[in-house]
Amino acid sequence: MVKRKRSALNPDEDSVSKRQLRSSLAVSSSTPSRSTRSSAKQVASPSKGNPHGPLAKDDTGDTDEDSADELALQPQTQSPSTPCTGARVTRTYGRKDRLQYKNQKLTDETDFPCADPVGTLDSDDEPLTMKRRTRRGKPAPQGAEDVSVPITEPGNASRLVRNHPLQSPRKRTTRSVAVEVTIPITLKKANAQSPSPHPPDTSPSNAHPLLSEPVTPDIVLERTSDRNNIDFFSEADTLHRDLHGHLNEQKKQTLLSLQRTSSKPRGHGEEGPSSVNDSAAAQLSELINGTVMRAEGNSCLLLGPRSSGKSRILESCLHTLPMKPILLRLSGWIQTTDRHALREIAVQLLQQTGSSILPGSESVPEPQTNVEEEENPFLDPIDDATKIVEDQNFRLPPSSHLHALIPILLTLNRPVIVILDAFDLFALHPRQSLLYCLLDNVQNSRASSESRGIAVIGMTSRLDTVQLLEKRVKSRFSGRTIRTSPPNGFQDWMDTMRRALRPFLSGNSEKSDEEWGHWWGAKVEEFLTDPEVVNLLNETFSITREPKLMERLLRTPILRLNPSEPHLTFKSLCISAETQRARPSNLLFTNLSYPAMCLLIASVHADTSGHPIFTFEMLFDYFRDQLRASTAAPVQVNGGNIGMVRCTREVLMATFDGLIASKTFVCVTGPSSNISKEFMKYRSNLHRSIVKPIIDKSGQIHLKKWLTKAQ
Amino acid sequence: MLPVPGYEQFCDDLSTLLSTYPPSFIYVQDIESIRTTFNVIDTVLRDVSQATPPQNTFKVHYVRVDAISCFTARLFFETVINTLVGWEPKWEDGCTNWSPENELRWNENLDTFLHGLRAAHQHLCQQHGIGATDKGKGKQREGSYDDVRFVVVVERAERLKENLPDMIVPLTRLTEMARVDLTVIFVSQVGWEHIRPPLGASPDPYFMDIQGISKDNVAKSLISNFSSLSVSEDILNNPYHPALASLYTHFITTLCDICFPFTHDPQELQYIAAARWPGFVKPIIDAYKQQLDEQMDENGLEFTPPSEEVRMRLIRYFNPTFTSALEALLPRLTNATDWAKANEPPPNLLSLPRTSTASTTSTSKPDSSNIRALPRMSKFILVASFLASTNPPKSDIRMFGRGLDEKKRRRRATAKTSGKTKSGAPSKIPQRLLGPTAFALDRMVAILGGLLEENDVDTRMGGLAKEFKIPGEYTDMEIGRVGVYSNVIELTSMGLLHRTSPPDRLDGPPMFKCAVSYETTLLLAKELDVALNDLLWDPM
Repeated sequence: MVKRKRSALNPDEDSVSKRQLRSSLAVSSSTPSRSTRSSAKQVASPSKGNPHGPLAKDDTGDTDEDSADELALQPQTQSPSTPCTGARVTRTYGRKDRLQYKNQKLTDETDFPCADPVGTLDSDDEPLTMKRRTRRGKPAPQGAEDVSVPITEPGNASRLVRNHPLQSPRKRTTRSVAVEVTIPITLKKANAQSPSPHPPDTSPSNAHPLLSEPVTPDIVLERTSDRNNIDFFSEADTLHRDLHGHLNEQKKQTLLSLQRTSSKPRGHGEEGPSSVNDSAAAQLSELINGTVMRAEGNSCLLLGPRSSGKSRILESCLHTLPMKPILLRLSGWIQTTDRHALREIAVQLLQQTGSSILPGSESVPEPQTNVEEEENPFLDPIDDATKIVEDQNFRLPPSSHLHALIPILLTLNRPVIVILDAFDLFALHPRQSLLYCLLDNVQNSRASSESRGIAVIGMTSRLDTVQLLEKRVKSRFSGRTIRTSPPNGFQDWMDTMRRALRPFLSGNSEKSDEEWGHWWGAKVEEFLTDPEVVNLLNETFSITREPKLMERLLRTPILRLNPSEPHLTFKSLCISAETQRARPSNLLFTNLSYPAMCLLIASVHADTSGHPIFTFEMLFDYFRDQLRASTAAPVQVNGGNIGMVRCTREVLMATFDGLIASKTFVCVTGPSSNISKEFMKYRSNLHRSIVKPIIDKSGQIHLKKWLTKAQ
Repeated sequence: MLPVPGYEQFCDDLSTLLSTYPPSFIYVQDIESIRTTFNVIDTVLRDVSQATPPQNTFKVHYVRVDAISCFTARLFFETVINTLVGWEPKWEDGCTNWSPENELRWNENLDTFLHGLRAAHQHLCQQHGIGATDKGKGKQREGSYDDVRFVVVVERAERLKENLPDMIVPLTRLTEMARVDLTVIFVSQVGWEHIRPPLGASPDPYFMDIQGISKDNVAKSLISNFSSLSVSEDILNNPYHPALASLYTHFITTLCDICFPFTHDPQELQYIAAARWPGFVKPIIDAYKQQLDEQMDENGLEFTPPSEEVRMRLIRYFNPTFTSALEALLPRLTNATDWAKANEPPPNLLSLPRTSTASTTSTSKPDSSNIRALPRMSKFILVASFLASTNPPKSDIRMFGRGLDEKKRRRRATAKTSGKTKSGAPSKIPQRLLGPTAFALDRMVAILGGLLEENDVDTRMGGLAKEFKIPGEYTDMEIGRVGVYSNVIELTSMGLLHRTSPPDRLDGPPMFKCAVSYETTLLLAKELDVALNDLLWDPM
């Protein structure tokens, strides 16, 4: 605020301000709700002086003029052959920004909001933070207050491009070469993607029906009717009211795409060798096609770490099948015994074929003969759908006949695909009889000519699953293992993240949407190239490559988007990293009540004196001793006693119960009827090193002193 | 309904998530005020489930499952599905569960539960006209939902680990298993790391943490509850009359100043406030009633809120009772109604001298009066058994033995409980703090003899004493009486002693354990005039 005022008072203090003045004078003026923010943008884009001109021509012309001197300094940032105007504009304004920053750096030392909870800032980064802040809270000279842009669509379009470059390019001005190289590429991607109304389907999320319908038409209406002057920020840092709908829609879509992140690298990965998951998908679809089309008996194991895309690959393979096989989905987590699994197979067969396969309870003879009889209903697959609806009395075969189900699978009139989730757990069932039967069936299927094909697909994340199989089962298993993997390069990870953060917003080519898309894209780029963010993500990536973690990491910043902070920030990512990544043990213990803190300190005392296991009586004894010592020599400050506060045994006991409920104190002996509550033995989950910051933060001196006594 | 102060961010996040695209598994952790969190989550879910298409294109159906009450899988399944489809079992129908069209029984095991979930989803989709009905029209009607979304909230999820350990993994993967739009929310005081099943079987949840609620926010939320507590217009029967709202604000602020350091749970503070407030405003209401009586006017006079001066007097007068209310009500030594009755202010409070403050009736422990009524021998037995439980057996001869040389009693050398001994080994914790140990009945009887000989001989009648020549012979006879043994049995049945050996064991003496606390024993010893602290092996 201080900064802003000062600059406003001295608009002539440097060359930038002069240019601001000049550019602001050049445009017509009307609306008082003009934001300081927008004026900042206008300063950076002199093309505003000619808003009616065709967008591309106008901007490029200005670009060449203004950046001519700087091209000599930094020729490497972009190849001259890049046809995209957007990228070039971006670059130029980036330089201009830098000019401004340099000047402002000299004048503005007031605002230095260097919030860096992680402490990764080196001295090199500090000016950067300052600069960024400076730009955001850009001073608004008096003249610029009145600037307005004509309402016509070309004006909107030109602003669109101007808005967009402003946000992203600051890094190239001072950052390392690596960052400079990445930006032209990403911008090119962004530009190639966003202007077309129906870009190539880049992620599964695009398939969602929401994408095909217009986004918040009411807002668009309002824009065209009464808003002459549309910009992104109405107040200093608050998003314009009209754009709240866009922000909300963006939030929604981004959350959707986060829910469905694919770990499969796409985009510029063509030149390299195809990724693990691509080849896995190819192998798997070949295998399934073999079963469905050529009636093969197949078995395979899909092996890969958690959330590496096993299920996704399988589902996509199943989705593209020409005909619908019978799908039997079993999970080792649910079907904990073979009997359960058989029952479940029976139920699913019932649902998918429409009638009970095995004879009902009314009779009788051998299952084999019945199979012959029951075959006929399935010859006509068209009936199936109607049958499911009609067949009101679903009946399961009696449990004594369940074992005959598996051979029947081969005789059905459609190919069968058995999916065994948590395959390793099935291998732990006694005698592995289900696996044996299934895999035996697969082998028989090869032999018999009339079978329609069966595939058994296991999914697991356990590496030694094949070794778990018994010899007779293993010999029937094809041994084919298809591996999946999470993204294995940091760049892949970042690309996945970029894709997740930039879902295609809407199918229609409304100007406002497009404008918003550009702005958002630029913001995402800015976020993802921020060295602090990259550093934090790199740190995360080095610990775990689980895509789910990325999803969780990004969800909080997306959720916290609001009109006053409509873009992703490092700060919100930090908060998210703290809660989602490796959760510190004292995360929730920042605000404990006084008795709870006393009990924690007492437990630390017990621990340091060699008794990690304690009873309530012991803790109370420590507390009483300390209280006695504290009140024996009362210290008065300003007439108030700053000694320990008295606390009755019962209150402490109630708090103790609370700490047990939150598992801060864990009981080490089993519950016993003849040990009373205060003599139960507990140990504390919070170590001294965790208790200390909690107490320090509470700011109670006597508690701190008491804790430091425990050595 | 307004969100509880301090929960705005959480409410915002949760409702945004649930009305857009939530993660399949959310974990909410709150350490100190979990009941408030339950209410907040319920409010959010109710709002989300009532939202109509422009705001929320998903029809949300939700269920709150308490893992304490749903202690078997079947209870769990039935609660979830019956609530989701809005089915209430009725006694007249034989309490049947909701049944889908195909009459599949869905409450037997997890497989059938999943089928039941799918059937419920399908049923609700049909009910809301989602899916099949839109096929012919090509485009969805305006104002219709896209899909039905289930939200399953499991409260006190840590209990699952004990009651339904097999359910945790399927619940955390419920979305992928049921293949319907579903979100599971675990709410717990305990961290996920304590519940997480081994081998990475569950996916990690999306964590939402509730940071401790601040004092200002607690006060705000308590004050905002005032209007909802108001029951009638008549101020004489309604201490929560709107005219008293400003006084209540000051009352709550003072209450929070005093009690908030001790507990951060808004519900506990509300409980204390509810116990104190009627007594607090009673003088004002009484004064008003008196005015009414004096005026004898039908219309009555307008109730005026108390002046600043009266307010200060009230707060000063009642200040000490806040602490005593906390001490009695937080551990639930008594209930709010009884406490309020016991601590009603005197009728003429406003005419009392200004410096007076309320005296509080101390809530005595319930068992102490029982113990006082015990016969004298039983008291001795209790003291003896406490000594037997606390002192190590080896020390008995030193504490109670009486040789000819009259060796002085030597107690254990005084060692500080904290810190270590010279050899570096941790110092021993007094047995008094570790809890009673079991003792053989014979040993206790011997100690009883020692106690009686020292403290009880003089009270006996002198007449019989001639028969006993040897010192201690009379006491020997006393402790050999059947009465002592029957007293022991009686005390055991009263729960003051615990028998640790099985009753049908024949070999060896029966083992007991003392079940009265040090404080109670001290009380007894004072009555019996026994110097208990001198007889304890561990120095106090």
